[in-house]
Amino acid sequence: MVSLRARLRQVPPLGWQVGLLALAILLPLPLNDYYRSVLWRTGIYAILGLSLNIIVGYAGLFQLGHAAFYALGAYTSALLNLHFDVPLVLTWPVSILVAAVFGYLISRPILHLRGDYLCIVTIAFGEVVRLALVNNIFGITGGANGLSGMDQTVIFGLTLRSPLHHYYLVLFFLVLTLVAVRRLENSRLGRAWMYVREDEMAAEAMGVDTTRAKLLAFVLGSGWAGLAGALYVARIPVVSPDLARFIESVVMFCIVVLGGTGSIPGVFVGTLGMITLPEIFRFLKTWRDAWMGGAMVAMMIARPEGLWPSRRIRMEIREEE
Amino acid sequence: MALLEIRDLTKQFGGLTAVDHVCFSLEEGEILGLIGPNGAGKTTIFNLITGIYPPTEGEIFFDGHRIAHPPLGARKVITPIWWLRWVPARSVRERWDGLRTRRPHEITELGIARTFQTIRLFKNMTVLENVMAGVHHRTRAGVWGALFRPPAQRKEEAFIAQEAERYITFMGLSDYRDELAKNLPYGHQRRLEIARALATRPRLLILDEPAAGLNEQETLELMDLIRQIRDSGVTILLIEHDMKVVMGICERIVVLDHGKKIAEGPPEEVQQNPRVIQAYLGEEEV
Repeated sequence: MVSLRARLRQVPPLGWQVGLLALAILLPLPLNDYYRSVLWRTGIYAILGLSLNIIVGYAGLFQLGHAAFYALGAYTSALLNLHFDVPLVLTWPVSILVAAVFGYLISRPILHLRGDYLCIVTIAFGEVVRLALVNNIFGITGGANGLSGMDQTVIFGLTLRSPLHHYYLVLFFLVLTLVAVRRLENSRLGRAWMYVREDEMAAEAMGVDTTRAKLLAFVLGSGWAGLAGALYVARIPVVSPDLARFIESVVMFCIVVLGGTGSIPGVFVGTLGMITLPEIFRFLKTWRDAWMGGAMVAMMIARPEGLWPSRRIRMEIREEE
Repeated sequence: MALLEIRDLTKQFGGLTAVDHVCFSLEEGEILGLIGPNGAGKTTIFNLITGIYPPTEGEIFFDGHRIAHPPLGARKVITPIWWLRWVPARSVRERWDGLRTRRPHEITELGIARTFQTIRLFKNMTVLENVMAGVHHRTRAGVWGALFRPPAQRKEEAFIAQEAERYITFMGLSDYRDELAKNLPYGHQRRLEIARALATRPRLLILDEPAAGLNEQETLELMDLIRQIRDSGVTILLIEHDMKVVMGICERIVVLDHGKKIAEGPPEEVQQNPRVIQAYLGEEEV
């Protein structure tokens, strides 16, 4: 086992990246449409997980209302398409913007809260968004039934029809997200987030504007969840308030925590456990809540740092080893 | 003009007066020691200077800026003033600057850096990353720079690393550059805190018990370093219980007891002061 690990480590990073990308491109080809849809869903949730990882993993802020931003992005895209006939592709930047603006408005007044208090407020925000959608706010969200009848996605004259097309669309944005979060992580801003996570008061005393850093984490994470919502609409022409359900936020949170908070590979492991496996193995889907709860409990006991933790977090939790 | 001036500073926590109408000032290039028995309010003064909480009464001036004053309280609600910051006229902006409560990072930007009594490093980050935190406020790259890595951003990253290296070398930590902060021996953690504070390029360095927990040899080295830092043009204010350190490097000493200033002067004079002796040794039983 050790020797295998050592041998795997010798593969240069570029080799890994190209290999995994090739695998991601080739993987759906031999599969049928059902499994291609599963992969598509995996991609969407990986994007959501990576966006939430900015907030929870890097900046260390609890956010249990992430699904609200996902829903905001989806509704923005749907409404623009239905009412103003904006092609879906052009609604994507607006979805990002709307979700990011809401992320700003919601986080600005509550950023001084810590830990569990922040968590409670984000749960409340998620519920407010869901109930507003159910109650047909401004008479435009279609109430509990949601909205339907959006156009098909057309990119450069190519209409995306099959699940395979949509998989590749999501894959493209997933790779984009990966590059972006990797660069954020290794930057001045990424370090500021980690200073905040490690010791907020020391960070502030060293001249780091912690409010700004936390705000940026929230805005970027929320905006990117909005993009995931828009990508959902690109394939499924029905949106309903179910997108903003609390359990969705919990699933996203579990994706980040299960794999290992703050770790990019961890998000993929988490998505696999929370989304892909339950889709493939039906019994896991019927027992989804039990599976999720059981997995979380088992993991907190056996591997509190997550299945594929970032180097830093592992050392944080397993102090004495 | 004095670099740091503390006027009539008072801080109450509920019914407890931690700092009681304290005044003193600090000249540029000086090493001033702040001493007193436990609970005398020394660390509270440090927290007031660095903006961790606002004073109940009194003001602190640093280099001509009013960096601390009592919060506006109820008046803030009645006359909202936040919009003043957007007014282009310079005089208005200065007025706004004078009225609002400064946040700790803004005070650091003005040139005050500190260390903590209980070491507060970023434990799970490397020594280099820790010191890089100090360079943060002198650099500007944001989201755009991180995502697109323009040449300016790459140059800035190189600058950050180079600056951090400089202070690591200065504090003699080069061998530990890539070690996690928490794996460092205690004495080195103290040095790392000073390196991180110096990386903000302060004009005033505030040290909260820098020699606590150090052995004889390490203490001597530390005293030497503090002198070197002063000679490089940084004014130093320190709290210290180790009288050898205080008497050895401080040019002036302020003594606090129960939140009040009871003595001020050169070390020899303070040592002879009966009120100081009484504060430390208690009243003589008859």
